[in-house]
Amino acid sequence: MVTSTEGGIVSTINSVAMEHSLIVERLSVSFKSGAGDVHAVNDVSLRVTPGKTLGIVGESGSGKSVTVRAVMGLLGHSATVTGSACLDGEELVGMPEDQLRRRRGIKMAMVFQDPMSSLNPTMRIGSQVAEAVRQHRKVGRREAWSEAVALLRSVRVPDPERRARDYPHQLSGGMRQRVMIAMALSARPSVLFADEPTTALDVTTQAQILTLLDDLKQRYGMGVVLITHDLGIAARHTDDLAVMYAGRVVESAPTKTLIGAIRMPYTQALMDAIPRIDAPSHSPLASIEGSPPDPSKPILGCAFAPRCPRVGDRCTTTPLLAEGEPGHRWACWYPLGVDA
Amino acid sequence: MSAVAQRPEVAAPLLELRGVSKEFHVPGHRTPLSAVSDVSFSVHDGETLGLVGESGCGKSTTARVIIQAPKPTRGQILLRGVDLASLRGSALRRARRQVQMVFQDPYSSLDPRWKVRDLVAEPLRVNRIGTRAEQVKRVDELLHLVGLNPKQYGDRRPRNLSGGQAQRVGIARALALSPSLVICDEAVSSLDVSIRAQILNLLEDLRTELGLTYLFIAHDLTVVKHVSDWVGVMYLGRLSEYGRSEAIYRSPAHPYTASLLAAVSEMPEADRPEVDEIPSPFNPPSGCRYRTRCPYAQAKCAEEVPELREVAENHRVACHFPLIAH
Repeated sequence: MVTSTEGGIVSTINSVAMEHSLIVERLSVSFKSGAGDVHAVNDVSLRVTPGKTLGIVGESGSGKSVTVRAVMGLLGHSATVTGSACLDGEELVGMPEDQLRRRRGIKMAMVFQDPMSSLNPTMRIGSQVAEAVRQHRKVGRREAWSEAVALLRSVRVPDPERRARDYPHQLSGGMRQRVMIAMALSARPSVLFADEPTTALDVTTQAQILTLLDDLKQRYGMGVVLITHDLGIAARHTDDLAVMYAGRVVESAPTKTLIGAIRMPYTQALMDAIPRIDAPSHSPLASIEGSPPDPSKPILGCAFAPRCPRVGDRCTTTPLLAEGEPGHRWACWYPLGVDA
Repeated sequence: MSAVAQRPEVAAPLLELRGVSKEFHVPGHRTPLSAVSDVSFSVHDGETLGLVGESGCGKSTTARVIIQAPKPTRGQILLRGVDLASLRGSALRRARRQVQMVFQDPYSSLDPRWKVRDLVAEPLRVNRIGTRAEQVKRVDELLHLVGLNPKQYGDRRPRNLSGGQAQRVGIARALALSPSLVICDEAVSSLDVSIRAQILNLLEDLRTELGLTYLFIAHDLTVVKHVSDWVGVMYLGRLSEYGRSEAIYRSPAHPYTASLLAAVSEMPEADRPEVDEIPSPFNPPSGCRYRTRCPYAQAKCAEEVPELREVAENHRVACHFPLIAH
C-alpha cells in the first residue's frame, strides 16, 4: 500500500489508513498578497471513511473549497500549505507536482459545480470519458470506448451506447454532471471530492445526482467529500459533517449527532436560513446579518462573534475545537443546549 | 382565449398576459423552438406571482417577452390594460420603465469597470431623469434602501463586492426608475443559503415599503413559497398549474407540480423512473407535454392538449386527470 519509505511512522499511518482513506491533520493555507498574507484555512483536521460521505458546509469564503484544493495540490505557487493530508497512507502536502498529478484522477478525483466548463464542447462525451480511462490504463481505443459506455451506464445515463456519441451541448445539466462523475470514477478513486455538484442544477435533478453519489460510494467503497453551502442538503446526504467558518472547522460530528443537537450558533444560523416549504407566504427568514470577516485582516477571538446572537465576554478569546460530547466537537464558549 | 385568473374586485391588473407564445428559429432545425406556448396569467398590484419550473420550461423567456426583448410571436401583454405592442417611441419607453428586472448572476449583469455609484445612476442618466445633483442624491437614497452604505460601497467596483452585495446593487439599479413591477429572474438562485435569506428579506421589505409587485421566477419551490401569493408552474413552455400559493402547495393538482414538491421534500416517489429528462422543446410530446414523464398518463393524454381549467376557486390546472377531484 505505502510506497513512501521515508519516516518511521509508516506502519502507524498504514494501520489508521485501514479505517480512513484520507486524514487531514492541522492543515493551514495562506496566500501571499500585496496587503499581507491571507489566511484562508487554519488548522483544519478532517477524516474521510471509505463508503461514507463527509460534508463540508460553509458560506462562500469559509475556506471549504480551498481546503479541498490544497489536499488535491491544485493551489499553485502563491499558496503556502502546512500541516498534513494523508491519502491511503501517503503524505500529499509537499509531494512533487509530477507525483501529485499521478495521484489525481487515480486516487482522488473531483467533480465541480459547472460541468459545462469542465467538458470539451467539441468532443463527444464518450470520447472524453474514454480519454479519462486511457489516462489511467493502457487500453486500446475500442476497449476504452466500451469502458466509457459502461461507466456512463453506471452513472445511469439512459441509453449509454447512443448518448456516448452526443456532444456536451446536447445534454441537460444533470446529464453533464453524470458524465463528469463517470470521468471521475474512471480510475476508481479512493476519494471523490464534489464541490457544490448540484448548485447549478434544478431541484429535481439535484436530488437525483445526490442519490447517485450515495449509491456509488457504497457500490465502490469510495469516500466522498461533499462541499456545499446548504446544510439542508448536507443533512440528508452525508454521514459526517464539518462546518467551516472563516477558515476554521467550528463544529464537527457524525451527521445524525450534529443535526440532532446543534451546538455552534453559526451552524444553527445556517439551518435557520433555509427556507421552509411549510412556512406561510411572506414570513421573514432568519438571516445571518453582516458578512464573514476579511481573511486578510487578523481575527481576534471567535470569528463569528460579531454576527453571533449568543456573543459574550469570553468570545474575545479564540475558542478551540474540542470534543464536548463523544464524537461531537465544537469551537464555542456558549454552545447551544449545554449549560455553561 | 385561455383562462385568466378572475378577480372581479380589481378592474385592470398591473400585468396581464393573454395567450402569449414565443417561437425561436434555430439554425439547423426545421421546426421552430416553441419556448412559450399560449401562456395567460395576470399579476395584481402588491401581489407576488411566483413562476416555477425546471430549466428550459420557458419561465425566463416569459420574463423577457414581458419586457418586449424579444417581442412575443403571438398574444398580448397588457400593462395596466394597455397592450405594449400598440405603443411606440416615448410611450413605450415610459411603459418599459414601469417594469424592471433583477437577474440571476449579479456579476455578469454589472459592468466590471464601473463604480457602484455609476451603475446605479445609469438608468437615471439614460432616461434623463433629474439634474446631476438630483441623480447623486437619488443614488445615495437607493443604496441606503438596499442596505449598502454609499460612503463605504459607492466607489467600489463589482469585483470588490460579495455576491450578496453585488445583488443588492442589481436591485438598486432595478429600483432606480421607481418601477411598479419588478421581475426577479432566479435573483437568489446563485447565492449562498445565508445570503439568500438576507436578499429574500430585503425584497420583502422593499415590497411593503415601496408597494412593489413582483414576478418571481425560480426553480426552487421552497424559495417561491416564501415570497408568493400566487404560483404558476410551467412545463415545456406551457402553464400547467396556476393558483393561490397555499392551495397549490397544500394540494397540487398537476402530477408535475406534485413531483416538484416531492423533490423538494425528498419524499420517495412511486412509479417514477430514477433518471428522467425533459423532452426536446423542438419536438414536444403530443397532447399533454408532461405525459412522457407522468406516472398517471393514459391514452387521452397523448391525443388531447389539456386546457387550463378550474378545479377549485383560484386554482386552475391543465391536466386530464388532476390529482384533486373537482
